[in-house]
Amino acid sequence: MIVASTHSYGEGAIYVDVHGDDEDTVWRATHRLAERVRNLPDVLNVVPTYSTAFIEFDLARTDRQSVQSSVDALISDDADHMLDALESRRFKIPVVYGGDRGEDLPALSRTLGMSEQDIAMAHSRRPLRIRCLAGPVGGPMMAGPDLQQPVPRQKSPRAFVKSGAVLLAGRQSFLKTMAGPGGWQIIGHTPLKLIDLTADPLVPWVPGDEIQFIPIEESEWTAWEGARPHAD
Amino acid sequence: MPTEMLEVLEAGHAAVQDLGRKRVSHLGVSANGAADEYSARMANVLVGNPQGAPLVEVLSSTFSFTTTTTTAVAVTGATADVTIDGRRAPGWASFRVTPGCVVTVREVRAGLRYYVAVGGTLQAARFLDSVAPDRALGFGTALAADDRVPFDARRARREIDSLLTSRLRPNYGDPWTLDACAGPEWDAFAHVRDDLLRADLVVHPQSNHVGTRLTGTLPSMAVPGELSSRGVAIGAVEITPSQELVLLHRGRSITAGYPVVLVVTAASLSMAGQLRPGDRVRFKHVTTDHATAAYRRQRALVDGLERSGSWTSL
Repeated sequence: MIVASTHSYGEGAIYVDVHGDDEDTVWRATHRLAERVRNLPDVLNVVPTYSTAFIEFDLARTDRQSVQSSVDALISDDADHMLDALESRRFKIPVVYGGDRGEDLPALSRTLGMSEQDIAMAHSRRPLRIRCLAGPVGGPMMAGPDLQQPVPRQKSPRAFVKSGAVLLAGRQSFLKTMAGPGGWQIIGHTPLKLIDLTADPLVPWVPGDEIQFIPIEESEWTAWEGARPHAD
Repeated sequence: MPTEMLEVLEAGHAAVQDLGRKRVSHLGVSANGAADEYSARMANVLVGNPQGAPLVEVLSSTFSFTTTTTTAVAVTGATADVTIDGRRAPGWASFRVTPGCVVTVREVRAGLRYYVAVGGTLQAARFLDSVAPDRALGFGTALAADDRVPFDARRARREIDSLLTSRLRPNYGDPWTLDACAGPEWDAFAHVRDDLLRADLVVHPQSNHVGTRLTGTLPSMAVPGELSSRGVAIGAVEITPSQELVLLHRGRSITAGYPVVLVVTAASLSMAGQLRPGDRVRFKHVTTDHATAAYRRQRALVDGLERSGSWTSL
């Protein structure tokens, strides 16, 4: 059972709140709805995340009331479609865990009461589903891995985290596609070049795809360095 | 069309800018673009360019240049002294410059950013069809002294009645009042929103294209539970865990997890792009109908100007 409702967000946007029985169904319904909303006239951007979709429209051409009633109509006409499965591809991402590549792993190991190796194993045991993309460009946010407790954020964010960093916070994983500030825990790095600003498509993955992390040794880094991620 | 040059003599903090990237949120890419969209559109219309043409955005510093051809120039945005070869020239108006004439903009008094448009298409590197700098991606064309920016010069300029242009300039005044509509946490923060609307806020120096930090005596605003990441609007006023307000600009990351009680209106957002560190700010609550009408009036003013002028050969 899925219940979705629309709400006002300033004069140039609305958002949809989705409720349902379990996280995975809610997430899928949110993204399915977002696909349909994207095709509405005068909608500029749709950002679906976990249980909300943010919808931005062209204020010169339409207004909140019209967009809200179009989206309400989509929701009531389309409840079945919202539960359809999403297509999924799988990307394999090699990771060097710990050491200089994952500087927060020792402290995290103490916090969680798990060995560094057990954290790396939990992270790479099964593929993680991409729930949404985040900035600055195409960074995949994934649900999992399942750990005993949520991973705390850094007390004060780092000003600079390298691209390729493999990060944990809360009950989520993230891959840093571009260097920049960050408050998540760094457990490793991938030698792959995740984003090429001249590539088309710019971002290799979409929400719904899966990422399988593969632990590699430091000695294997150069063999992978600069390679582009691709789906199986 | 021969390619002419805009030759930079003094750059200050200047970059080639446009209206940003419109439909890129699904890529996890920020919109970016002119922080004061109204002034950027106006500068382009005054010289006869399309409203979204690349132009120069300068952050409160001196910018000086010459061109290799006769062209129209317009300066809008923050109030500053504009001179051509040392003689005063008007802001918010189009004037003709000849090759080698030195155009200098300095002494920014009210507002933070000004826009310099030349008649023609400035050429700079593009990413997703826009020249707009994206600091998070390290993308953009920042200008330095001795840089030469190619442009395809227009051979005519638009003549616009100066009575008309005098009405275009917004009042940049400290203290500022910014219109804002209800955000998603408007109801959840019902107990503090009146205090928020009464608060005298001050612009913090650590502000940029991503956001303006605002400090002041704020009501205690306990955040109800942790919000998971969700799409966030340009103009959203976030309440951070350190009880600061951050007004998000066009460089904002597309997702965030902080509560948003107020969203600055599209019309007021252009004004917000002019806030200087130390300026005082208040928010005024308006309905979405009011805000929509205000934005359309602002756009109609620019569109009307675009249709009104007659063309003269340069």
